[in-house]
Amino acid sequence: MRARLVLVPLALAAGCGRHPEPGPAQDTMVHTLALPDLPPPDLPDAPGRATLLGACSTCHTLRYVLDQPPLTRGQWAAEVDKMRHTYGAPFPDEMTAPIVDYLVAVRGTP
Amino acid sequence: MTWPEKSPALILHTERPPNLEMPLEYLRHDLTPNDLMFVRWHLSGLPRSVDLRTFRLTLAGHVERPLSLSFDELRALEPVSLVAVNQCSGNSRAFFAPRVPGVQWSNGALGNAKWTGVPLRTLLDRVGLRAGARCVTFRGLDTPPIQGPAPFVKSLDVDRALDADVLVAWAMNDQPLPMLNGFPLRLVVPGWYSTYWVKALTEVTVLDAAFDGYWMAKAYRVPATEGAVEAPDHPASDTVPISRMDVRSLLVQPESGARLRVGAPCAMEGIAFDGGSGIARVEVSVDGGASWRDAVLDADLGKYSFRRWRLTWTPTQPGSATIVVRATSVSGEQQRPAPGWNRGGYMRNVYERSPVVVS
Repeated sequence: MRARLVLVPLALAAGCGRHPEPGPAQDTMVHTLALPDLPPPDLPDAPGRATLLGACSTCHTLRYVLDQPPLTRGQWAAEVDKMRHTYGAPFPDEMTAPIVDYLVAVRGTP
Repeated sequence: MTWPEKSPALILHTERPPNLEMPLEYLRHDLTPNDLMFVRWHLSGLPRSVDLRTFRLTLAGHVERPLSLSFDELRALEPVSLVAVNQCSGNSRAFFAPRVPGVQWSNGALGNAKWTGVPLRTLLDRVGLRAGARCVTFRGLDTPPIQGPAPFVKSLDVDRALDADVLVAWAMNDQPLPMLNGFPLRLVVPGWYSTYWVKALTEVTVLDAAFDGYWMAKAYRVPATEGAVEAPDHPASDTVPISRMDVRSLLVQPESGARLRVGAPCAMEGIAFDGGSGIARVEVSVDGGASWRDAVLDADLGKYSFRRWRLTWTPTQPGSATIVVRATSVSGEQQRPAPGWNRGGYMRNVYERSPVVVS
């Protein structure tokens, strides 16, 4: 195998105040992760927006919505169903329709 | 925006949980610097603190002698190193047509690194598989944000788990793993998509039955068809867990839409890799696929590594041109001339095509 390139990740040295070199004597025993506090994503205004915010943002950023391409109503309904029944999102059935309507309004296929 | 131990160059898809992509230009490193390795988490409850004084890797289940190891105990075992591509199953999902839901990765949910750790097989030999052992499950420190039925647990059949190249890695490019890439331990399943490369690995459990957890039984499944392809209006009825990476190549330079000049040499370059046989050949066309030339391959860093390639092209006439790249693996596998589709947006491996303008 060819000799390894020396690629020192600068962020390791600059970012978190601990030693990057392996070896028991040099490791900090407690490694922590300080996640940046980003402003919430700018979700377009449309009916159902407040319902979506209340039901979905407990578990994940709504930037997921903005990351998605235009999807069909069926695809969005399947996503919302997955969140409720697979991931256990604790919102009642009557909130499903306005959430799907909102998603179709802002990221639906034409 | 600053993510701990990460370059500000990474592209944000989501922040809770973090999903960060590497811009394509950084594939010009043989080994992807740790601060540029892409980040992908499924559940918002990712580990925020790891105390190496109390952290343990446990191996239990259908074994003779369950084992609990501290980080230092694990690192005291004889280590091995290998270079391997770490690629998300859904890398390049944004290019699927029709579009599919999921994180909309371009081509940057991959990187290449030197992984150092203990072969999983060494640990399984120490605990001793009992007769009838069928699969091994892997769980990390991440948790669902609410009580739910879907903690992130993956499994490998015993045969795959006993492959000598599957590692419990404690170093990436000779450095500790960044927290966002799975500190302190990460399962490395070279040649297979990184959905199996469980981060912050803490529980290894041997089962005497098949594992039916959500992340194997429902998610990360592909059509059980040749090339994992299905038609959007006729979804495949049979699916299987995604596994080995298919062969693919990427063009890194020139960038799509680049303006080239007649008579000026253009240094084309990119990468190619497959699921563990290595790359035999990369061919490049500058006329949309009508004729092909062999690219020159860089040094071979190992069969699981990506292989960089180069070829110089001096355009002779003005106008639009399309650069096309295709790779062939050592095992003889070739890329698809036309894109395949599946509902998950997985395993894209079509010929890479990139338009440029010559003036």
